[in-house]
Amino acid sequence: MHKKIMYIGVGKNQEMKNSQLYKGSLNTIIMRLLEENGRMYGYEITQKVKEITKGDLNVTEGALYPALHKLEAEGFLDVEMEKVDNRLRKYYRLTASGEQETVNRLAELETFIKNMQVLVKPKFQI
Amino acid sequence: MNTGKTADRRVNETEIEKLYAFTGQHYVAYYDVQTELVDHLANAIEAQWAINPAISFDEALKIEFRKFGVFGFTTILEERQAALTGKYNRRILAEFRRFFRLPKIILVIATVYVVFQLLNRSDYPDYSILGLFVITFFIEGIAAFLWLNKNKKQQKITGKKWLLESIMKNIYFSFPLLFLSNGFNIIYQIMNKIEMGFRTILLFSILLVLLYLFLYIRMKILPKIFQEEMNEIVKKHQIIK
Repeated sequence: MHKKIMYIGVGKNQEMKNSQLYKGSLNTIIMRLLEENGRMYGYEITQKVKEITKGDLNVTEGALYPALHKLEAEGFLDVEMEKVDNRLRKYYRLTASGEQETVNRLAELETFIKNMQVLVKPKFQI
Repeated sequence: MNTGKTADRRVNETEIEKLYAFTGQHYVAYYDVQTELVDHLANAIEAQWAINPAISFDEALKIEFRKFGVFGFTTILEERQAALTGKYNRRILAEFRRFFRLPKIILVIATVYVVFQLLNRSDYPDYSILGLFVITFFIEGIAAFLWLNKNKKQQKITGKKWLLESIMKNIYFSFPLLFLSNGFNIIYQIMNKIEMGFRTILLFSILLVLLYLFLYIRMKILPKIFQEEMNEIVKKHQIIK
């Protein structure tokens, strides 16, 4: 059976239209993952999202890195480099302001989900 | 992280060098941006080898590069440039705002007053204003070339190109170039059309002081910030200075 995959980012896939729903939440997804895992690198984030959503959600490279770089420039993420095998790896972690921002964004997202549920849920009347 | 890898085949040093060259061929000239992409590609290639050990390095790289979309690395590079430019513009504005708080604001007002008095007493306030704009342009131009010279020396030490250097280059050269392209002509046209009264001289006095404030921030404060951040970036990338 064909499995429908949601994409966040650029791509030619038909399912791309669904990505609009997720695009606005990409930063929050990244921040939440970093809050949970401490520090992560780019490739690890893409794999983690795939793993958690059992392959339903695919964060593309073209969307992930600009989001990470923007959060870094805004001071929400700090960067550390480490030599792994024979190459340098760039790890991201939340700064103090990033941690606060994560709390705010998650709360905002929760309110959004609640409101959406109220809006799309069919009303039952007795 | 568990990526479900079973094979141990890793990207070797020669292949890492190939990846750096590959990002360079695809319009990413900056070592800091290249490094992140190289690690990403290497991870993705190793993940492919875990599933299919027979696939060649070049074939795996081709597959991974396709995932970056039709624009390749360009979108990532452009977005990073935009994010960093925004960061430093915000930094400049933050420094600028400091001059509008006590006690520095007193100094700013006093300077505006002095400039205004000098221009108001001048027999040729319009030419004086034009002259001051020209001086600003020259200082900006000289400072930009001095910075470029210093930067070339730094590049020789590290042997690499860094994105931050490119951002700073834009910040330093945008203003002199703007002046050179049309800015000076626009000011000249304005001066020709308006009458030099009390209000006009006051307005230009304020404008000139604001301009010199920007100049001061860009020439005095920004290089310090830049140097600190540059040292940090180079240190993080483990390049010995």
